[in-house]
Amino acid sequence: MIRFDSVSVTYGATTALCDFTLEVARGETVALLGPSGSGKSTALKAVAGFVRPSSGRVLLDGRDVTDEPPHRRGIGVVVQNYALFPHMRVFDNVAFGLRARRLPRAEIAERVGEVLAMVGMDGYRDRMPGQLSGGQQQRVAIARALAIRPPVLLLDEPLSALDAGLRQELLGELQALRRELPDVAILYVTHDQNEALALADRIAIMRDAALVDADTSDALYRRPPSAFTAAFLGGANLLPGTVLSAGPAGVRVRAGGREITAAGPVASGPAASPSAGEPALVCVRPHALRTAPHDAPDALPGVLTGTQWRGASYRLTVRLDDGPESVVADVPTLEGTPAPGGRIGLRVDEAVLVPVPGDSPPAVPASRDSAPGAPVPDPAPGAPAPAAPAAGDSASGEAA
Amino acid sequence: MSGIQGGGLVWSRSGRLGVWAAFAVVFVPVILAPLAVVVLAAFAGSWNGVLPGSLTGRHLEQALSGEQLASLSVSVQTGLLSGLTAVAVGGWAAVAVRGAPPALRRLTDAVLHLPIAVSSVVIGLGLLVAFGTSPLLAGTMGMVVIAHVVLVLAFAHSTVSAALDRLDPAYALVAGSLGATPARVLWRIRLPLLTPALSAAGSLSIALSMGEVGATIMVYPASWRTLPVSVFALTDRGRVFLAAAETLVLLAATLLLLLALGRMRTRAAK
Repeated sequence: MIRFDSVSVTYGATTALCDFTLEVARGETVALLGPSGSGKSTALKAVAGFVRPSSGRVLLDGRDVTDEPPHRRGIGVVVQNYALFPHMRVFDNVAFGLRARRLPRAEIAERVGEVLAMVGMDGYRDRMPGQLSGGQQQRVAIARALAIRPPVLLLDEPLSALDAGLRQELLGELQALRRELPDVAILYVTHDQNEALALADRIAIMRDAALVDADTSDALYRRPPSAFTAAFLGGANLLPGTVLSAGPAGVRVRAGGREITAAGPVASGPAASPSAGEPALVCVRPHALRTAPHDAPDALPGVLTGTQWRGASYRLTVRLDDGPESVVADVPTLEGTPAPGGRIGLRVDEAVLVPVPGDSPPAVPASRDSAPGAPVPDPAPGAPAPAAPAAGDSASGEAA
Repeated sequence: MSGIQGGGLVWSRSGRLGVWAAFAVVFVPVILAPLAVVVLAAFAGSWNGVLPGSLTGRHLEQALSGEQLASLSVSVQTGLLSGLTAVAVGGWAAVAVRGAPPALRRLTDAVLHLPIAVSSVVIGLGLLVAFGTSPLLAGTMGMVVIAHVVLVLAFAHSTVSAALDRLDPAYALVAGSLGATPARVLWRIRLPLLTPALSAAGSLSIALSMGEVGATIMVYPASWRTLPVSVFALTDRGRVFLAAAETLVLLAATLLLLLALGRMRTRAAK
């Protein structure tokens, strides 16, 4: 339905989007997820016709629309600040696209009523946008975009201007709305991993104006194909190490001063068949670490440098003896944990450890603190289920 | 009254008094005193001492009759005509160059501001040289209106341009994505959102036009003498009290016109 074919967008000497290729099928929701400046909004603007690609093509239903102006594309767009026309009532805002299409009055009234009812705003049709709350404005903006019955809906960080509580509520409403639009291709731009995991069938991870990885949310979370994706989606620890051997039972790696086996599912690519002696990163989620005595033979020894209460769990920051990196672990209790500065061991669940290529720098430490709520994936065969997401984590967008 | 309401960010009583005193020192001699003298002179039968003597309404009566009244009518018509034209042309220029390269925008800005960088007499002289022999314009009110438009265009353009800078481009983009053509976006979205700026530009242009004299005096035909030209001529002939009365009438007319426009703007906003 939507196809980006090697699309690049440049502003003078700045490249905002580089050689971007992606497809979104009819009825599918794809989230463009990445940090600020990663090019995700530029990609959306290229589909909407708000920017003209410097190279590459944008196709809608097989039709090349690269050089078509926005008003000929027939796409529904919801922007970050909603951009409700402040001089028009809710009804007129929603009817705007229908009037532009010169539909009969009766049909306009019917369709406006239909979409306003769909978003629960039927009783507000005579209000001015300035009289609506942020959540109500967001609903009206979605109704306005849906009124023209677009085959493609673009949502550019539609929840980012709302407070945490309202965001959660509207996230549920967007999920329900998705079910009512089975034939619409949705491209959802966000930097919030909770939203991407909750809404998207597939997630496209972006970084530095380029696509890093694209796959189902479950695959990206459980089998991250790159260090960046592992760290950005779910806030994984990445232990640097060296491959000792690889076999059906997993990849044997020396990392953190111990030999450990990364027996988790591996994405296709370089990490799937590493050779002995190669550098590798072992992806370990904070919830897959447990405290242990520092001298336990199967534990990674280190020094506890900090603890942080996060509601239903505690986040420990540990500087490992072997290697400069600190790792974070989410534990349900501080029982048996030394005071900061004390020595501690971290026991890893090898069944959920995943090797990722060691040549890609992770470089997203901030994402650990804004990591998403756990997608609660099905455990790998034979592996224990990941810890349930902490309540406080969910509210703060934290991964379990 | 709190500090913020009463004295901005000045919190102390002495500080607020200082601010008001500084304002009064500037406002009283520069603005208020000349206006007060004009008002007093408009009602003066004679003025031989510190204050005028034999107060009379005769000058005002004269200012509102005959040729003087005709001049007032000419000024109002010229102000409205040139104000509206300046808003239309300046506003259009501001909208038109929005998507243009920055160099072209700067050039347009400079060209429109050029007339106010030189004396208005020079503009009048330029128009006289350019169109003084034109059968269409020479000796017509058109010359006066063109002179006024040229002089107030920069203000109208700047006002609309500043408002466009503040206008969220997302409105036009979203309207386009909903199927609106660029013309529809302009008519239904941009212009309504620019109404306050267009109205402010109109008010400013009219006010400036109502007081313009330098260029007008170079190009006006006998049948289209504006009130400021009349005031200038009367002062030149030593009829200061009548000139003061006409000035008072000009001030009142401009004020009423701007109030009426402001009222229309408020109604439109509702």
